[in-house]
Amino acid sequence: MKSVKRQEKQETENKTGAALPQNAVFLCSCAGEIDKVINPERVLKALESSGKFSNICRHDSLCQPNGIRAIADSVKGNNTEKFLIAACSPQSIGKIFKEGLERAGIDTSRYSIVNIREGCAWPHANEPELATEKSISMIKTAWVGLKSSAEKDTEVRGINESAIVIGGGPAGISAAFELAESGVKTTIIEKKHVLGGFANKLGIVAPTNDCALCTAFLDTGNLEVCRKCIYRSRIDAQTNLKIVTKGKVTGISGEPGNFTVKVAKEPRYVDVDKCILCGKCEEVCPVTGIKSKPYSTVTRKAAFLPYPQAIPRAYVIDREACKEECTECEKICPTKAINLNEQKTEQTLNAGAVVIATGIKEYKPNEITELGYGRYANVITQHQLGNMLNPEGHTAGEVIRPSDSRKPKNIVMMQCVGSRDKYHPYCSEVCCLFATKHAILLRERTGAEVTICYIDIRTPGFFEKYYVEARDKWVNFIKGRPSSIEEDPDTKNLYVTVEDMAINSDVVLNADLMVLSSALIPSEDTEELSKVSGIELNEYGFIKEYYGKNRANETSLKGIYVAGSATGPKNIPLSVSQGSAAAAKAISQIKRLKAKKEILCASIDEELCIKCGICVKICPVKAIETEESLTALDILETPEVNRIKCLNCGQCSAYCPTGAIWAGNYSGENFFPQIEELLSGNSIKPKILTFLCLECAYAAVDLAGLKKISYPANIIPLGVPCAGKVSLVDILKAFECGAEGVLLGGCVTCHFKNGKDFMVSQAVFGKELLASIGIEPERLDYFTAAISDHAKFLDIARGMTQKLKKL
Amino acid sequence: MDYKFDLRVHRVEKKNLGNREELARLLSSLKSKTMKSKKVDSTWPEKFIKAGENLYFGGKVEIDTDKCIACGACAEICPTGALEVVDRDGKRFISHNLQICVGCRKCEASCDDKAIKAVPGLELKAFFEGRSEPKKEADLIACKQCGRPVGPAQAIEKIKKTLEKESHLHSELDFCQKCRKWRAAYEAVPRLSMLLGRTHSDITGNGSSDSK
Repeated sequence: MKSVKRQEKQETENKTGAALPQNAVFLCSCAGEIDKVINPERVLKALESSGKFSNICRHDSLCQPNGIRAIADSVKGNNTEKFLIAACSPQSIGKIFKEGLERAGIDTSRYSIVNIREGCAWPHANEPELATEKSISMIKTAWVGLKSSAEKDTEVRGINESAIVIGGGPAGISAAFELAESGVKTTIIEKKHVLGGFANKLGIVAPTNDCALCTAFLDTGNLEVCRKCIYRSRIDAQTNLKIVTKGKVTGISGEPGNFTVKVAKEPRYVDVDKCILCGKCEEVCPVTGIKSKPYSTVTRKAAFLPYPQAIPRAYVIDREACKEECTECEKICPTKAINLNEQKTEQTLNAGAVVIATGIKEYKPNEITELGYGRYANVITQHQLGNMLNPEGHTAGEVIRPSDSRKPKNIVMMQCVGSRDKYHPYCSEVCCLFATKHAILLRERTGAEVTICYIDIRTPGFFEKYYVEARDKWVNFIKGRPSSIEEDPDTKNLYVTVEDMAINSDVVLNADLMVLSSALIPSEDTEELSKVSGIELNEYGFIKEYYGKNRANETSLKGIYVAGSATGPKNIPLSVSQGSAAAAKAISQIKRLKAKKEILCASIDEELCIKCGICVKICPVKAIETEESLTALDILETPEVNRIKCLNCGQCSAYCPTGAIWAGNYSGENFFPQIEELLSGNSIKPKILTFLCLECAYAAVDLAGLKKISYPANIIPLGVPCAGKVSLVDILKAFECGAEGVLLGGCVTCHFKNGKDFMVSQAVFGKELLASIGIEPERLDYFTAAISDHAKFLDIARGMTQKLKKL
Repeated sequence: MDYKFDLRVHRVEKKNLGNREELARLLSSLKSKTMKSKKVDSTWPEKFIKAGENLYFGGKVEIDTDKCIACGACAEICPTGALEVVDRDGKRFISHNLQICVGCRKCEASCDDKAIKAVPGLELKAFFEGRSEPKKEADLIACKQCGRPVGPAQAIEKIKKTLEKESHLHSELDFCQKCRKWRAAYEAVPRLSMLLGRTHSDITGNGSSDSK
């Protein structure tokens, strides 16, 4: 369609007698900086004799406003279709040309920038002859690439103006409220009956020493500087917020701006909107004395309110406990809110953005047998103790020994149970805070003797005050890890053997109650969510951040954000602010209303595709989609490239056995001629073709040029969108076209997930392959660099040139 | 390649593997250059060059013959036909062709018994000269009715076990698909044989013709 259109346009122009489209080159002398090294006369001559350009202009400083104006005027005046700008690095100057020329109505697909300053003149100041030849080759190569480049194509898609938050803990609530407050229709999906999550089970939370409910609050329309908890601000009354309880996400599909989320909703038997909390159902309920833990002193009925401030404001019917035929509660309910025949339902929700806040759970250390958890009644975990200290908890705020409900006199805590060891190698971050906080509370409330056995106390920053306060309150600290816990079968007292490292000998502690600060691990929903959505997990099973340094709120899938402990254990303040941050990201995505993207993406030739599924497996952003399947196993149809998701990194094309898939502007017809052009027609020897990733690696080489550090002119650069795009065919092609060495340059942290790893294994494999056909393996090498790492590049460039000269 | 089309169980048309052919062309052109200049041996090395776990140029498969039940799922899913199943003389032969294997590892994912393992890499000799490596040999069960192969014994055994577990009948597994179909049809419509004046054994060919 597009090519036909262009033809028509040309024909009509011919009829009206207008000049044919022409091609131009604009050479910048950079106020003499480029001319100092590169002989402009030779460049002009070479370009004129190539016969490809009808118009070659020279200018003093193209990047200045008058330079850009000169380009725009010349392009318009001479009816120029495509043109080259030979100046400085496109990485630093590209944006300025883009803005200036776009204002003049010239889009980026019509020109390309050749880097003859940082890439040629400056680093090769001592080899002016070679630098001139190299720059001519670079300009000609850029023309080969530009000639066949795609026309500009933008796509605009509508964005669904709603959001979904998965998980109703502090991070999830905070994200959901921010979204709802800003006017986005938000659905929060919680697996339990009530919001609150892991934190809400604790009575007192750090750093404010009050309850966990005021982690987020609404202040719609008023400017009071007053803090209200989720209960007092009645967050469920917010019209933009919908709370789905007993919900489980069974599938996420779609693209940024348009996600489809499948939710399976377990019945809760009480209509949340109709329930008025009259409590009549609880009164008539015949099932009594249900204990949620064996040592609970508080019992409940089968119809109950989890805790008085519960949001959503409704009773819960525990159908597993209640009698099948009894319908007393249903009969008595004055508002007919109870329906005991409610069935499991499945819902499909659409959203413009998804925030994941699936949180953490506590590791149950049963497998660490020497600690006796699960065997000895009086060995509990820190979270269980936190729940005991909660007035709404199983024991109504009393700390008791599970074996006989007596108040403990001697309490021993053990840190790092299941974390920083073979079970979970990471530090769970908040357990030291938990332990010191609980120790202070125990000292205050019960006066019991508290001993904390630790490896290192980690209460960073201002949380140090908990440690100091605990010491002030005469909590004993023993540096050492308990090696065994024994139980006295009669009294159920415990004997804890610990090696005190201060006195370097074993100590046996007598404990009424043993509290294990158990590791915090990803909640089970995290793994399931990853299975149904394709979101990646890190090596510990938490959700992997897109980029740990500055994109910690994003997942591996674009448009799906993450907050709170789903990416690793976090304290409450951090979780809450992460929730708000994720919401801000989601809002900025949704409020754009339209997803506009300049489309430059991969395309698949259906006739050539053999449906092997390699590209589907490789794609770092899961942009290559198959019908209803993420596994790539059962592909029967040619997969399709999602034009919004595709980042055009080209990794897919490197491994396609048939050549059916190509990245935009890097197809075989476009890329191979560039390699040929770059390696023929200059007398540089030995030629080292350097494939540079256009992200960090190219910038590193650029900065070496900018600092005017000289490196051999033998290094002939060719930009690729990702080092993972370079295939064996590309490498061998370079050797065939006369390269004597091939260097691959990738980034330290790949911008497209695995590209760097592909490059490294490709190079290792390539070396062996070359050796087996009689080419020295030293001719192929690679480096990885961050922008500031140009020394790495210089070392390898100089070393390789020397090696090749010897060969 | 000399395919015996009539015997192959899953027929895969020959695929155009453009990028790999380009790789082969480049390798041989570079080799011919080095052969001239450095007197490198003209034969292709037999060494299998292992690639990284995630690289996909080609590969070889290893089949654990103890675990494999010769069901042929791997060959069915193989996009290039590198895995080949041939039923011949009451036996099933599974072979792997290193020349056209692209190392996509779909076979690995398809195998229910975890018997097949794909190792990514290239063996240049096989890549250029083409070689089918026999990987598994299994006995076939012949149809009680017509004598044609029903399937490999171990695979049938597995199906039987699965059916038993779900308490289904599995007596029909002794017959080939065609005979099974006709048997079912005649059972469902008892009068069919009367109407047509023949039984299913006539249609399937090998049965006795006495009942006519």
